[in-house]
Amino acid sequence: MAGLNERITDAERALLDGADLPVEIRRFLEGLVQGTTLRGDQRLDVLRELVAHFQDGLLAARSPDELLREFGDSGLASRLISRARRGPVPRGRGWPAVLDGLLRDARLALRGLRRNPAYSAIATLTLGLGIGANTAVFSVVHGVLLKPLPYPEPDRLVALFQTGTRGEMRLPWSVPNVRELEDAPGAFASVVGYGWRDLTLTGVGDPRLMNAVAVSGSLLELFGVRPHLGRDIARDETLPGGPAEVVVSHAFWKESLGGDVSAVGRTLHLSGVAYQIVGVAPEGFEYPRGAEMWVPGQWSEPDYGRGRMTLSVVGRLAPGATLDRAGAELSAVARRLAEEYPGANAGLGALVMALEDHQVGGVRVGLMVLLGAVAMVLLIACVNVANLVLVRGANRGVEIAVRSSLGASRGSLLRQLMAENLVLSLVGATVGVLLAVGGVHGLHLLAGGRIPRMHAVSVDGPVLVFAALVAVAAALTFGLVPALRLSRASIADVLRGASERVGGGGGRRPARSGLMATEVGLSLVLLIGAGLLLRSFAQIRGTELGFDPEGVRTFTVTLPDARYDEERSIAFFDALRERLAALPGVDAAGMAWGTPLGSQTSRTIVVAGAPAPAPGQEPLVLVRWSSPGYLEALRIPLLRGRDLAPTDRADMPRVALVSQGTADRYFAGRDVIGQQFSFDANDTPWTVVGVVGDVRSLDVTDTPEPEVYVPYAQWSRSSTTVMLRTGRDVPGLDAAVRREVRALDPDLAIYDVRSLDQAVASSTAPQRFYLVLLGVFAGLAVLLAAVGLYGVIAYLVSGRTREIGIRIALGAHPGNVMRMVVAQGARPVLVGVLVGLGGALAGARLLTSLLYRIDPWDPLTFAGSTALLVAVATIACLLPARRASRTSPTEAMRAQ
Amino acid sequence: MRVERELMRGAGPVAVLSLLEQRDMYGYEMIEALSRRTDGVLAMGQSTLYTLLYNLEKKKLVGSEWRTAESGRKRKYYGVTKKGLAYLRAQEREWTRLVGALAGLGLVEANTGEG
Repeated sequence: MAGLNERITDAERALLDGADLPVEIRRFLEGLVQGTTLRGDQRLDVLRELVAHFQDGLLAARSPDELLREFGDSGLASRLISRARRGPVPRGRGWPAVLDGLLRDARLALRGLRRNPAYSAIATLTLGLGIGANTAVFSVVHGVLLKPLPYPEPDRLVALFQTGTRGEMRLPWSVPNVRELEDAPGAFASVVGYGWRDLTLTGVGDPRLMNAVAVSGSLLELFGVRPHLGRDIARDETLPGGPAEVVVSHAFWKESLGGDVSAVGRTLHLSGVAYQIVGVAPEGFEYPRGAEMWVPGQWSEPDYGRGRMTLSVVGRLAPGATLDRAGAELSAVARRLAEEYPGANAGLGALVMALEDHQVGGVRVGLMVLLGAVAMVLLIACVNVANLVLVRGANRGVEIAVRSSLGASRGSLLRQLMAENLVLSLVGATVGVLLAVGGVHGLHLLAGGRIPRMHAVSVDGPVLVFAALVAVAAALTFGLVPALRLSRASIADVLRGASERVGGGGGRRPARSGLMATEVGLSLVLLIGAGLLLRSFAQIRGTELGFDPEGVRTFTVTLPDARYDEERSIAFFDALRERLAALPGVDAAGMAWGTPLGSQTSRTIVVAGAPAPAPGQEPLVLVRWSSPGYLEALRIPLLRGRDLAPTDRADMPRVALVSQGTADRYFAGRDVIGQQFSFDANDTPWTVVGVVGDVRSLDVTDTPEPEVYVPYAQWSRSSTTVMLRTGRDVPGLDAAVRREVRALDPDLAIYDVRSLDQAVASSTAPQRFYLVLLGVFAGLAVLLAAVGLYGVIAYLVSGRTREIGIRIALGAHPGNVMRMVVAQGARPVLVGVLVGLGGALAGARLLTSLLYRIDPWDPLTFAGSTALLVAVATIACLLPARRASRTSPTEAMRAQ
Repeated sequence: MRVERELMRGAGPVAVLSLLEQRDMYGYEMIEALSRRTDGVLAMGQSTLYTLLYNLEKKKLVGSEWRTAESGRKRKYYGVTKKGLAYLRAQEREWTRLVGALAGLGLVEANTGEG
């Protein structure tokens, strides 16, 4: 007999045991009742009647066989009896029946929640906030950390780096070294080096600087994707003298070429050279991120020698090759290179890591911390809702008891109560998902492009499944204990006036205290975490940058090599600087290759007269070619000597400025003015003419790197970033700048137009991302905890109205009454604070990698957060306490 | 001879209610009485009686209660309600009319005695 019902219950077994029936009749009856859809007392009643029937038959001296035959088929009997006793039975057994039951429970639950709109709204909103925050953060974790890269066999994709002698872990490669990698595949199916190339597109709308990537081989093939149209770039074409051809992105093809299916074969004018389109990448392919087109590298010596490390390298592991084996082989290659070309490669190692780890490794800890934080917020939300459910349960004791005495079994009551919790939770999840959709939008803005793979973040299928699972887990967390307790209610309890005890009211203070302590403890942990990040962020903001980004407007302009030789470039930059400096409202105009905290170039130097360093220990500096006026524009102090001057021309002796750090570190003990250095042994030496203040050029949180400044006329580059100090907003400045550039050359693109403080802010975007989120979660946690505390204390006070009234009538001072009520909340708060402090002490270590110049056990943060939380908790307790102290004795007597 | 199921649906309640009109009875008692008095015509699959009783009870045509017999055994006794009596009267009129009509057609002999 396929029973869709519970097994024989204890009461039924006792009944059958006592009935002393022949075994075949007993089996028949067991099967029959199990075949019904009846439950609890109703089923017991039917069984009792049928037992009596067979006992009567046996007394009448009928044989068991006869009785069974006359009774009829047990399956039919089960169905008919079920229908007669409780309405139609679903035709299908198993799932349809279960589903039907669930739907009925859900309908009942919804009706119950509608009857209590205030309770339902508060509980739903609380859960919605908790589940929404979790869903939003999970969508980031899922998109950034969990989703596989969108390429075939993504786990075989790797990133290759050189490691430096100074502990640098991820250095790029020189072109000749990349070629060596390509020639010694071993564990790699293929490797491709690539670097950004400044190419200005003309002839398609306004001149525009393209996000173009120069590659050393077939990048699409390496990623396992097929061109949408045409073909990939072949490795041979990337050698010097190869054809001028380009593969464009799907997006570029759609937007700029109108999705023309005959685009392949057309010509694009890039920086004055005609490139033939040979292929269109598949939709969504964008590697490296932001790439709009790919061109063959065609790097030639001597510009791209072994000493110039410019290329990033990706690879695909050969089938069956492991990361370890690839790493070992790569290290062997690095050793060989160091032996064969000690000048450029001495001391360099090599490193291979999964491409995904390379992309997201930096944010893993931060995101996990956030996930932990929102989980705590949800837990606090659950605790609050559990409190609500308990309070509501206290008022429902009668209803439950009546239903129980009417034959509802404990199982069915429990099922009904849990169905209510589940419906509550799922409605909360729906609210939460809506909040999360908005939240994810905000997260995109907050991330400011500095969180890798954020573009893959959305509230999609797996995220919705997560939200549903969280909702179920939440329902179990906040609902199971109250439901278990409630379903035990008996009419006798209620009649004895014990609904309090039944519902976990006043009589269940230990449980409530536990809930309050939990809330306080979790909130404190979050508050301390947010406090640490806040202090850390303040440290970052307070860091002396070495330059003043306020009131500086910057933009970048790139000259196409085809039309600008060295002489023309210098002439252009001279003219541009003069024109811009003369613009109204501009206090100072300077140019340089990149801005601090933007693009950097680093080189080793040879200090004249200093002992030769060991291989790999050469002094390393950042090199910034710059113009007169650069120091002034950025307010970098000139400490000694003179600034670069317009007279430092290409045909004049080479001069340079060095930072204080460079002077201290590499020219120690000598007067640095007049000293000389060169970038390699064959280089014409540069003479130091001035010393300037240190600048944090690489990272706000790093110590300033040694830096040297050389005049642009003596170190030609085709691209420059212009910095204009205006001090105040100058309306129409950007338009004026464009006008001046166009007057010089109408085919030039201007890009990266922004304020320097914007650029600086974006360099701290990840820190701000964590800070804002953890701050929001901590605020939410404290708010929920305060509401929870207030609710519990107020409820407990309402249960003691009579007692308090009597005390006041007997002459108790209102102050004493307040103290008594506050004390009731004080104990759980104190326990919570202690637990929270313990948790924070243990957990703070996780934050270490996110903190800057702040100890994870920073006493100030711990003390401040605790004080704040205690203050909030006190207020939450004081409000109901004040009300209690004003209780009038007559009113109290009427209560009850 | 067993009455067909469809006919049974109509006749069953009337038979049960008219039995219970005389006195309260428990399940097995009714089964024996029905098969004795109707010469087996209503000796349905016995489980059907319980279904029938539950349905009548749902419609409030009969009521039930557990009683303890002298032997100490508990049995569930059914009795006809006021509503059940009214229903029974109406049904009897229907049946009488039907039997009369059938007799008029010469299909059945009007049964005058009890049996």
